[in-house]
Amino acid sequence: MKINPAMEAFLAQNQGTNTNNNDVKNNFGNILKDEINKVNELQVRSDEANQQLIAGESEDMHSVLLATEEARLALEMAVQIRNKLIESYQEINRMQL
Amino acid sequence: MKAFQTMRISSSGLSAERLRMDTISSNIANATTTRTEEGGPYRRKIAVFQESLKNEMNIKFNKMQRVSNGVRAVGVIEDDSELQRVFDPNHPDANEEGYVLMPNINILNEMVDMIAATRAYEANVTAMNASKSMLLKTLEIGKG
Repeated sequence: MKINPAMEAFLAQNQGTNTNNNDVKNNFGNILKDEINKVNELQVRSDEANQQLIAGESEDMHSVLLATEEARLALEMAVQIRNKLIESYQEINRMQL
Repeated sequence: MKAFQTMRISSSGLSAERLRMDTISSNIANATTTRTEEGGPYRRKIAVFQESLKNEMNIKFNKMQRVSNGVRAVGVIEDDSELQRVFDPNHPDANEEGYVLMPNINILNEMVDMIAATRAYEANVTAMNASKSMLLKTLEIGKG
């Protein structure tokens, strides 16, 4: 039984471009960093929108709230992914040697 | 991010309804205004909206397509319906016969439009909240 068919298909698809696991562009650390930067960007945008609202420069309130909600959802998504990562780390840590 | 597209569409709806409220408020405020910059009495304003589309790459079929980006306001036009003629000889803007041209605004219509705009705004907020709770629900996948 194939344990992870999706992963194999993914690897087969990318075979031509990056067979090397240490490929600088696509290694796990960089992907994580990129995504965290995106989450941070949303936080910054929400912060700016709030600043503008307080300073009275904002056109409308709902776009501020929308930016805040987007930032919140992105952060919660990141937290969920972190939980999954830690969970799998702990699972490996508990492994009997 | 594409996940937030629904919320952005709702947000454009909120902006549109705000504009509608602006024009309605202006109509109510100017219900008895007899002088304007263009001369003549105030005319009723109507906000006009247009469907907003944007180009987006469809990855599945590998081609560009037009997808919804919500609504956008094309502008505010004037209602050309007939102005009211009110007999008031003491009014400074009355003509020789004593009639004053008043704006073509019926306060009752404006109130009804205002209720419609308020409800439409609420509907957009509800849609936005629904899409938000869908996204939050997605995060619960694999939790249990």
